[in-house]
Amino acid sequence: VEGPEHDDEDVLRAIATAPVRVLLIGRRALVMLGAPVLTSDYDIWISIDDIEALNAAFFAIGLHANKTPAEARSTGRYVFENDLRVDVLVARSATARDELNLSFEDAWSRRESVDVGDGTLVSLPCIDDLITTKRWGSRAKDLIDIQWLEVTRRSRP
Amino acid sequence: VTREAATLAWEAKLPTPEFERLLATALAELDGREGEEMLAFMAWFNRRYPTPLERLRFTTREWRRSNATRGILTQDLARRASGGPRGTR
Repeated sequence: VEGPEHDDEDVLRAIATAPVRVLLIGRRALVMLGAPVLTSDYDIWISIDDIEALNAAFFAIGLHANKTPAEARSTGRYVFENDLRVDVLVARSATARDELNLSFEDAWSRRESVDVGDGTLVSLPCIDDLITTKRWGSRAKDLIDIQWLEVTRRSRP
Repeated sequence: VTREAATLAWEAKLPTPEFERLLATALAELDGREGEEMLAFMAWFNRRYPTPLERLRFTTREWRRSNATRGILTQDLARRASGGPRGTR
C-alpha cells in the first residue's frame, strides 16, 4: 500500500475543530513533536463531558464509536474503528501509582498547541505530562518512547 | 524472534520496579553515544519531513507497508539488536 487508506488531515481537522477538549497522546503525539516512531493508531484523551460532541465530529468523517457514551463513561475508554483506529481515554484522571497521578484538567491546563502544517492546531500534553502517560503503560515500548521524549526536550532551544 | 513473541514482549506491562530500573538505564544512555545518535536521527527526520502532517503521513504509510510485509515489531527489535536506530523501519 503506497498511500494511507484514510486521510490524516481529516482526522486532525476533526480533532482540532470539534467543540471538544482533545489531547493527542500516544506515539502520534511523539511524531507531531518530531520523534521518528511508527504507530498504527491514534490515541486521544478527552474530557468526560465531551463524548457526545466527539462522537458527532468523528461520525462526520465516517468513524463510529464501539460503545455508547454511558458505557464509555463507565469503562473510561472506548474506540473508533474503521480503516483506522482511534483509542479514546475519557477518565477524569488516570494513574497506576500516586506519583503518576495526572488529571485531564491539569494536563489540559499545561497543553501545547502544535500547527500540523496547514494552520490546523492540535493540542498535546506538555512533554512532562506525555512522559507520565507513558509511565502509566510501563511497557518496553514506553521506555523507548520516553527516551524519544527526552531527546525531543534536549533538541529544543 | 517470531512476530508474535516480539509483539508480546513489546506490549507486555512490566513490573514497576523493573520498569523503573530499565527507565533509569535508558535515560542514562542518552548522555552518551545513544543520545547523540537519536538526536541526529531526529534532526534528519525533521529535515526530511518538516511539518507534523508530513511526519504523520509518513508514519501511516510506513506502518501499513511494514505491517503488510514483515511486521514492524519484529523489525524494531531486530534493529535494536543490531544497534541501529529505533522506532522506525
